[in-house]
Amino acid sequence: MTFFREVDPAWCPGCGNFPLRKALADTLDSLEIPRELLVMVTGIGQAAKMPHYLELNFFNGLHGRSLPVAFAVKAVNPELTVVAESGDGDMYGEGGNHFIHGIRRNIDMTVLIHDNQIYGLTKGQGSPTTQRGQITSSQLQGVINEPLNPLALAITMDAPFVARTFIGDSEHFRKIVSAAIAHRGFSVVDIMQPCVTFNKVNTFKYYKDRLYDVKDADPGYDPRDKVRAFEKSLEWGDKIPMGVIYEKDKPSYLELHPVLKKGIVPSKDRTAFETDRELEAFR
Amino acid sequence: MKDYVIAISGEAGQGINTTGDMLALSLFRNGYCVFTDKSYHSRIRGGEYVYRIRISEEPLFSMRQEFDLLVSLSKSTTLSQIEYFHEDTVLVFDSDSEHITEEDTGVRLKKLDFPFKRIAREAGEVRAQNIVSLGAILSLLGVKIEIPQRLVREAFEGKEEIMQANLRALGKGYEISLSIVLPSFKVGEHDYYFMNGTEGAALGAIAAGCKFLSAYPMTPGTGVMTFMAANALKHNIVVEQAEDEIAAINMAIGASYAGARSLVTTSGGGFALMQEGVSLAAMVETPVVIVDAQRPAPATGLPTRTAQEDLAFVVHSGHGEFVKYVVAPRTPKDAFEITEKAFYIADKYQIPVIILLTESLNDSSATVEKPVHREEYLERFIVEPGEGYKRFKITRDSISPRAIPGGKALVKVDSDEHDEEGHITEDLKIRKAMVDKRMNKLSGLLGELSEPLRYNLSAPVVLIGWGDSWGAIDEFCRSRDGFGYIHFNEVFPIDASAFSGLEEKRLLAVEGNYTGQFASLIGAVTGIKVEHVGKYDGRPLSAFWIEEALREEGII
Repeated sequence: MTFFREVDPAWCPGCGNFPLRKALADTLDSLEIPRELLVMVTGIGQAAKMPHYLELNFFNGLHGRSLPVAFAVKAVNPELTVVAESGDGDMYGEGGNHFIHGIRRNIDMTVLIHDNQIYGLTKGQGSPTTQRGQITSSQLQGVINEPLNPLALAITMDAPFVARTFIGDSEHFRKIVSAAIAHRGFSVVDIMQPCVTFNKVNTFKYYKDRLYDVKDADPGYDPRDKVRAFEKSLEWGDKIPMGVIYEKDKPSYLELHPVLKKGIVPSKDRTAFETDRELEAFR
Repeated sequence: MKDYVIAISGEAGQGINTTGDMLALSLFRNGYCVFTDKSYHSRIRGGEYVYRIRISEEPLFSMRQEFDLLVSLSKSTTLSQIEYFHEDTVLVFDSDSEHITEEDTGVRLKKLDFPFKRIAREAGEVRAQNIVSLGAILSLLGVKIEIPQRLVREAFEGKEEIMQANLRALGKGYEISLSIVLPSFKVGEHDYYFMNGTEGAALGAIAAGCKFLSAYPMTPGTGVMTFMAANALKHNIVVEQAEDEIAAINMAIGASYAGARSLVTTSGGGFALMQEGVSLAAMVETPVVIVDAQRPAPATGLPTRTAQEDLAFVVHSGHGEFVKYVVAPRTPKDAFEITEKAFYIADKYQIPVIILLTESLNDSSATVEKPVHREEYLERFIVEPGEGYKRFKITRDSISPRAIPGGKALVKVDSDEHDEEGHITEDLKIRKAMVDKRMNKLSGLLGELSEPLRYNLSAPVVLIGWGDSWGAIDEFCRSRDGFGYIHFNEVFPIDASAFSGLEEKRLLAVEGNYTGQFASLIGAVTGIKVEHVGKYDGRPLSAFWIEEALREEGII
């Protein structure tokens, strides 16, 4: 049984989503999670079409709204492994508020963001991570807004697992995404990938020349040092760090929630309603 | 109908709500039938707070406009209530505090003053003046002192000294003899329950096995959320306060996809934010129940007042075309029962269901018969999937087999148009078949509707109502000849056959809105002309108001 589904995706030839899909299927195959117990929740966009090209349970919902759905799936059935996946526009733009509060909730799930720094499906508008000055189909004189730094934001909010990886390094991808799924809590993985059609700045070569793994560069790098991790998350230029930037052990929603910490699976709970006893308070 | 209306008024923060609750519950437990309502400003302290209690021998479900007795803790709130005085209304106030004079009002008032504050101070707790007045009223109405004593003990549990002082204050209050002539009520043991619409709806949701609630707080829908939160541990419910209403509805749909009955609570403004989610629930054919507790709009409107203004919006909510079920309970008992049915219908037809409450229903406690819990409403219509399972299979009755993830087959759902398996498609033949499938649910749903309540349909004028207007409409029609009514608690879809035989009548919708929203809906479905009168000042409907409105229309 493989998570890979043999169909032709509706992506542009050469899209970064192709290697991402292959690497993701390989990663999931290596984890020994039964397909029936994994749920992928996505929003809308080219990235969000991913579950149609894999074999798994999925909820392909609304633009920007994957995280609330994913949260609730996990909350009512903690036995499921939940992965939320979408693009940078979906997660950081339309769904930005849910990203912030999803981190606060810290339920055990993994968030994969296809970050190509542009809107693809709507044809080339600037996204929250598009760099200043870049000319797009809707910012014709160049983007003037400060780009959102997803890693710095996630670290500030104390997400317990914050990482970056690259579709050009499938082994790095597998290592990082496996660790993210294994980590208990809200794991954030920002995935750098080119958009061959609409982003002529952040190309495959652009990322390839700049990305380096923090551990490879410095074996002493400690992702548990929050201040150091925050500093690392601010690096963006000739060199761009990837790997596990920040990591922390902290109790997740499931361990703190007064009902769920009892081991209750709400979706399966069928406690009877004893009418007479419940209504006695209203006499 | 023999009745008596007591009002307690003061500023928010003066303990009016607590005193009113104790008074109402004591009267109920002594055998009276009690109906309450609250009128307050959207603020935490200060501002006017009026708690009205109507007592009778048989249950009533609306407030009488004028009251018989006003106990007022503040001069300014008394002044604002003068318009609800009749010639025998008695005003009771503290003799040591400054209060209104005839110069203020220009009319003669029947006034009784007692040194409530001084008595409370003598009892050892100056803040117990409410309890002194409570004792005086309960003594007048012949309520056994043991009943309020128990409530005082519960209210001050763990604070022995304050409790004793309040018990003394209560006893002193009982010694006050208010020289007021009452109608003679025959009251005794009864088998009723006392609850408000908030409690009815929340208990109904718990009884239906709701295990997930997500909401962003918004008056007057918040009460359902906080009631469920207070009962969450006992009933294994996850109650999540969402970052916004968009998150709330998406969470509830996610929880439902994963197999839990789920609920969202809000008011009109919050429901407006949920529109794409309502449409999503329909597209992924995932059941969800939404409480919209109505308040006057547009926009922020009047947060603590009542209205029936969201009907047209709710009926047409969500972009695109799909089937939904909209209910509006008449009473707290009905709120319990129709909420249970709401979850059942949502599951059976895999559609969004909206429960329209109102501020007045939510905040008014009423004397009701025992709500009926129906085990058959617990049926989930969830299948164990086998080989070749297709979540959106086109079936003869247009209901696809709903499985939940975690079983033997994969469950795939998509907000895009999708094929039977759940995968995105642009095949336009499939598109048409899927629309047909989703819309075909309507015929089954129409068969689920209960009969509306009907009264005196031989009358020349038949009033039409929905939701919590029933109490006022029923009271009005029973108080005079020539008026009947047909009243709905399931407001959408509308079964045109409910109106057969009424074509020759003068039909008049009585609604808590300006435009006659239900009248328009009925007209659109049946082609019958329905006139309307509407109350949109933020106050609940009453039999008295209906009479005035009909007089103004020249119908009476």
